[in-house]
Amino acid sequence: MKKYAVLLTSVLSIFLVVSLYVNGIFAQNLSWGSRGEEVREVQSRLTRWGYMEGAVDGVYGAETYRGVRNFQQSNGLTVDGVIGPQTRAALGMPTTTPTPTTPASEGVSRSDDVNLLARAIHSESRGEPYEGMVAVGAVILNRVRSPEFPNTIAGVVYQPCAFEPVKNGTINNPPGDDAFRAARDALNGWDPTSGALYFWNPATATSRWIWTRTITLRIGRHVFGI
Amino acid sequence: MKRYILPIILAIALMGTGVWGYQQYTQKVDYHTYLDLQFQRQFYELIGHVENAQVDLSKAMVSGSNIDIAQYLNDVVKQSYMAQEKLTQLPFNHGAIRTTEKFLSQLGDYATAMVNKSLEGIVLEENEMSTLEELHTYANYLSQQLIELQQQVVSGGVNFGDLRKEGNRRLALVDSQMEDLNLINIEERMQDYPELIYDGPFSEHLKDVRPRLQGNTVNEGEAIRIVTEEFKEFNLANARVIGRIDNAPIEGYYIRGERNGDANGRGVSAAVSRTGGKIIWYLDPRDIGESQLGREEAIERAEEFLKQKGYEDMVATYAMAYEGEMVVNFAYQQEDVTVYTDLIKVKVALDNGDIIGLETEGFLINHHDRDIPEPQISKEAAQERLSSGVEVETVKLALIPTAGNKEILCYEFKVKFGADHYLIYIDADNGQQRRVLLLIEGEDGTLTI
Repeated sequence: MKKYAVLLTSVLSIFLVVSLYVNGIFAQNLSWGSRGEEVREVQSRLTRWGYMEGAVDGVYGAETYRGVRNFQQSNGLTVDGVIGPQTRAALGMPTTTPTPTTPASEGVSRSDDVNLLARAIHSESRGEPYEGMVAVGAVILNRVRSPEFPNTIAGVVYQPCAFEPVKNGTINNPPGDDAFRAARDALNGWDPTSGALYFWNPATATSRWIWTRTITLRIGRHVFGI
Repeated sequence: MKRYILPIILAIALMGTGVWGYQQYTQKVDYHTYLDLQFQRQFYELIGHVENAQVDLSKAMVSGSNIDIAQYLNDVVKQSYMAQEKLTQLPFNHGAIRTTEKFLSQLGDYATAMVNKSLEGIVLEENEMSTLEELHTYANYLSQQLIELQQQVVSGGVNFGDLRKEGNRRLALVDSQMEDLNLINIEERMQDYPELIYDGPFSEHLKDVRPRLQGNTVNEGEAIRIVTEEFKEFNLANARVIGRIDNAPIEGYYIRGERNGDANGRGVSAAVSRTGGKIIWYLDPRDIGESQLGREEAIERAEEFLKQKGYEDMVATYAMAYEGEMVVNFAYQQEDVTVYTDLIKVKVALDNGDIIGLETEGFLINHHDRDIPEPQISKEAAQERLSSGVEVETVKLALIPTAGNKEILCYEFKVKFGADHYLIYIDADNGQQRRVLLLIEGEDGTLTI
């Protein structure tokens, strides 16, 4: 039994190593217009070895292009001015960039819920007091917990005919810091509305039905109800 | 010749506009059709799921053994949740379908509760079987109505894309479409299905929470005094009642005020309960400077604050830092049992240790003097219920809420499995595993899922 365990572990670990190797992302080709740390590295190597003159600035421009062609010519590579795998190897640069690996069994957190909630709050409660923003977030979360609504944050936010900003697209605007903070407070359990499932602006609400709801409180321009 | 130039240019422009307009139009028709078909697909799937739920329910009822019942009810759970999900994403007016949405949620939830019972080896009681039967009748009715609706959709009477577009704007039109759809009738009929009380998150009894909070009724003036007094050390001034909180588990006053000194123009807000005059929540959204306090200091600061406000025997159970602030969760500790239902959250500003948030609703609703029974099984016996693959680090007694808010006494094991930590709750009465929480440990604190 123990033998099998040892065998299985070793097979698994070999498999893991191989799969990590295969999964390593192949480095990108560098060419005219490329920028970044890798270009800088290429430039400094080429300058050191005398293939190129000019600034080591991390921008693949005319001078770098000439330098790369010089290098390729004298090393018997295809002269195309593009740093592909072969040129890369000849330059002595790594051909793969290491993938950041996380242990297979470590948990992940659902930080995207905060993002979505923050966007909903941002688009629904501009100009409202802070507790009014938290309240909008709380209504969305109360809906998730209610049987009468979808059971996920995304389901509630994107429910057709539910929120105006989803219809007109302002839901996609990046949220402000306040909205993020309010979203976190709502997720952490702050609920100024005490369980409200609806909110509406009395000045602009067009639905007659919404006025049949029981009102719990008003914050800023919004009326909250169950 | 010259006088033709302008008309020619205009004619070309007109033609161009026409071509462009036509392209836009075909594109619009294209999207509209796509959308309509997506909605139609969902509608077909909805009908399928409701039908399946109904059939599985009937199969569960004719099954003899617990295992068979559990199996079919499990399918009911799956089908009804999928039906609910499809229904909620169709462009219907919420008011016209909410009872049906609720029915599907509760059907799945009730079936879950019955599955759990069956898996524990408990034979379903007669009234539970008759509830299932009633639910079956309604599921049957619903699927028949939906099939009728389907005929209308197929014959071209309804365009889902149009329904969405009209949204809430042209109500008369939508209403008449809804009437055509016969949804209103379904909704009315569905309203009669029985109230379901069981151990699940969508159970009816959770709607009427009766808070345990007691005390004298306070008026507006007293409420203002209470807020000013409680947050005196943070220079709270100019507190005033903005409105009342009604029709809520804990009713109260909604109060706003300013903080002298570091006002950033936004002010602070709070709610005070009408009964007992307790702070229900408090929020101070002031800007926060560079963090000066560490995790331990912040927790200490929160503990100190609670003690000062008369909340004794509260223990910090978990803390999480976010940009410049830390939320500390507290649970009530009765002798050696952590009571997780009696929750208070305190938010500490990490720049100077100010308390910038408080949330006590869990505590106010649930807290009371409890007779916590002695555990029926020993710690060792409970530990035997754990998987042999886990490494136990700590164990303590805890009172946790079930999905339906019943309180059960459990052993809380903190265990290590692989790279992660988990909290496993074993019922101290019968050794059943009640809940497992995965702890996600980040630099800023620990998250439980």
